[in-house]
Amino acid sequence: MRVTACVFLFAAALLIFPPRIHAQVPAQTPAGGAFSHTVEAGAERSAFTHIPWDSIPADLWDKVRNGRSLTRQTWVISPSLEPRIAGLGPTYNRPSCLSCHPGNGRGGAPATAARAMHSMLVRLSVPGTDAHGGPKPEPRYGDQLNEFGIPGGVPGEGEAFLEWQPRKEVLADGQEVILRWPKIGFRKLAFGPLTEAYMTSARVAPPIFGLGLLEAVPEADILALARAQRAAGDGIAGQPNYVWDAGRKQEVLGRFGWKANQPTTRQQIAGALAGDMGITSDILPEPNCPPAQAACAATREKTGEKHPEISSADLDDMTLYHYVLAIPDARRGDDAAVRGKALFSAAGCATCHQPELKTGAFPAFPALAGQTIRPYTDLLLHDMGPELADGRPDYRANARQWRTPPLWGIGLLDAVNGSGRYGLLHDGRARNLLEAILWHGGEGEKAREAVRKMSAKEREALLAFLKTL
Amino acid sequence: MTDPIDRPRRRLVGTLLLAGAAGSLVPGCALFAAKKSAMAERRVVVLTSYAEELVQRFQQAFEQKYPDARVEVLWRHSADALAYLRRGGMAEIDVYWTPAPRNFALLKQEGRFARLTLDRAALPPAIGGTAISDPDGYYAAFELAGYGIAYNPEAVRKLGLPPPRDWGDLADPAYRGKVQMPIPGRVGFAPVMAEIVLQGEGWDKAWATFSAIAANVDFGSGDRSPDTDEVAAGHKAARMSIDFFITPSRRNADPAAGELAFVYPPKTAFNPSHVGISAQAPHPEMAKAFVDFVLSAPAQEMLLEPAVRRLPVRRDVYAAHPELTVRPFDGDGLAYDDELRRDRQGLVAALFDIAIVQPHVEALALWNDLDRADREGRGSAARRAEIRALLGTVPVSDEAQRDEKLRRLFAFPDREPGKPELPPSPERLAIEARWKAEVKDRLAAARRLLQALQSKSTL
Repeated sequence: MRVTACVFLFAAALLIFPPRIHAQVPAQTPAGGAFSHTVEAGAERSAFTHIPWDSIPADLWDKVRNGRSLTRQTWVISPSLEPRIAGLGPTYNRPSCLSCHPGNGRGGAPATAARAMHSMLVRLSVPGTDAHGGPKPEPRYGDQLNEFGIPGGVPGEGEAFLEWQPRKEVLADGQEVILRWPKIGFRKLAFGPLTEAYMTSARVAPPIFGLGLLEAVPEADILALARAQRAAGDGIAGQPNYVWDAGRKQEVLGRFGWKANQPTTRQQIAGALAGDMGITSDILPEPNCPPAQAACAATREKTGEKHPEISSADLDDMTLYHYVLAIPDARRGDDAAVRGKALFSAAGCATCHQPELKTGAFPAFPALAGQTIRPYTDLLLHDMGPELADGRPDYRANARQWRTPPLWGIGLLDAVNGSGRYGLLHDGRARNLLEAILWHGGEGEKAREAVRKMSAKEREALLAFLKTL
Repeated sequence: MTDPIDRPRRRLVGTLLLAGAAGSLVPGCALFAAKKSAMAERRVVVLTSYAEELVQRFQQAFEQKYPDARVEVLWRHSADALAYLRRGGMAEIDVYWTPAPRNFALLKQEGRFARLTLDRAALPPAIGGTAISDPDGYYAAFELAGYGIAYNPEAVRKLGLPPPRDWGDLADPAYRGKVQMPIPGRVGFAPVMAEIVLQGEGWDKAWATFSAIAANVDFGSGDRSPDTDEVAAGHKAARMSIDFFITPSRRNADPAAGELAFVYPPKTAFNPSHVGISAQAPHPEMAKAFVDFVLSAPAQEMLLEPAVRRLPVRRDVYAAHPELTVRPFDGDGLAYDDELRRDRQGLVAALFDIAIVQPHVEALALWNDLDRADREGRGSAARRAEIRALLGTVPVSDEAQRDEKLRRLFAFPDREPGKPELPPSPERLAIEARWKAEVKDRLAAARRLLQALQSKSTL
């Protein structure tokens, strides 16, 4: 109630005494410290691919280029004359990182049940945990459904699809918004039905820039945010996830993925290489062939493929490329965006979507250390209510919890992906920012209600601010 | 969790059971089976080497047109693709869609393609007399790649130079250290680009141009990257490049501030990529639908999109875009012969390496001395021209390069995965040793002449 009242008072004050400044959000900290860039007019489409070469030691440039080349690479099925880029499959979803992250940006959900998933996937599991506390894979299909199998006898596992269900929301000023939510379905399952108690989670690919900076935020700072939220006592209480670090062989803070289920950029990349493309690495050295999939397991002998398929040095270079990708600075907005920025805070959005964090020491790539960044995330898990729940725990994240996704660059998605070619929230159900806000439940409910009660002008101002990010 | 999944599956199973039961009772059983099989085959398997940005645009547009169809994409570079297709891959793919003219020519000769039905009125068969599609109709041009100079207008201006217009402009000594030149043996598009200069300027003059431009290049650890980002960042001023880094409507045009620019030299060429259907295609109907789609006007329009940046092969698409500053079918450009490129590609790559890349540091010092002599007017113009000729001549004459045996000796052998590359033959090694010695002698002669100019001026 207090927050809502504040929002109303603040909004009323803004309407009565509009700010005198004109058309400029005040200058602010660059979005990614030394790893930021100003997006020139006309260059928005490549906003997520910029490399700030002058912030990178010149002796690493070739490694950055190699990492970029591998990230852009469409992978090849073994055997190949180019073993360095071979190893796609035996089963896989897509052949390239860019298939799901076009322009290094976000994926989207298919518009109808007939269409294929091109930049999202469906995670699978059954009750229980694996040896390290993570989800227990579905016994026939593993932890993610792979649509494709390599030619020559390996069947694809099947196809997942989304059936959209409508849901009407009415805002306080009477505006109607038709939301949609997905029912997940499967067809052409090659190894029989899924186990009785299976769980699913649809996941849209998120943008891939800024991972290094987020990895460099000290764990202590993230835990301090969780404590501060709890102490404030207004219903927001972020929780860290703790996940298995396969490199260090220990449980550590999770930072990446929709449920913060990956600890490092390197492991996040290795997980995507293995899960989405079937490419093994020093972190995940064994092909993902569940026991029911004999043709998958036989591929190793048939093709003579060697594991791991990507070398440690190449995985390091891909990691480095992800570290150095520059963050697009917020663009200057108009008066409405200035008001929207204040409304964003007043509505309570900034409690979880923390505007500013600082990086600490980062021995893996010291240039990222000591940067003040504006990611709009706290890297913590929050209960987002039953509306967004996927019913599938992931380490300490329960069925209703999701990691606060960073908002940097979110205003550029229309330019990078193309309008209507991306989806917000974990399953891509939200087609625009307002829909995404209206799906916030649980700890995000108060903020959602604040937005719902805004006037049309205030909502436009809030969205105008988000479009500057 | 509730189970939204089983309902459609139960419906499907029920439908199949009912249909199966009906099928067992009536003679329509075979028809049912055929329909079921056709439904299961709404898939087209495409082998390509195109970048994902291009592939996914066409994949998604095709699937939008045929919502129940799926495009399965396999990817291989040209040599790898040829080996794969020859060891049985033609029976696993439906469509081969890629820039690899040699592969298409060879696979056609081997009878591995089905004949296409093409809309020949909309698809010109040739550019300036050079065929771009197979005259017998076994494969068709899909898009065109042009070659030219990408440059950073601001960086060029800072060097006090006008925007480059022709290859030779990049030989100006003011460009020292500021030009990028892809090495034919290392960057995929470089062999065609080198061949365009060779065919446009003639063998001897082209090598002189390469040598003079190389004096402005820092080969460093080897130019392996096809990208223009060092030029875009202003670290370099210009790059000999393929054109698809720049939006088509901005080529040959005045660049906006801060924008990367691109110019086609007067004698350049547009090289086609192709699409063809496997004679053993598992899904021939969908293969035809895919080929018809990528050659259709709406799909060819997509080539101009900012994420794709290619040149269409349909006249009607150019007619619909008067703003395009590049119009390959209207010009009277170079009658480029890609067969000649394929014939001597190995020879050119080896020669480039031995005459340009390997002696680069030594040659650069001599070019700098010659540049100084030019500026200071040391020695006669004829003597300086003699030195320039020594620095710009390669050990294989125009007449010698025509020798089929020599070309075959340097041809890239077809390879097989897992099998080691054959070592160069003793005959080839002997020729390379002779070339290296000849290059060394020419550089030594140039050095002596430059030293003579130096000593005369100090006397």
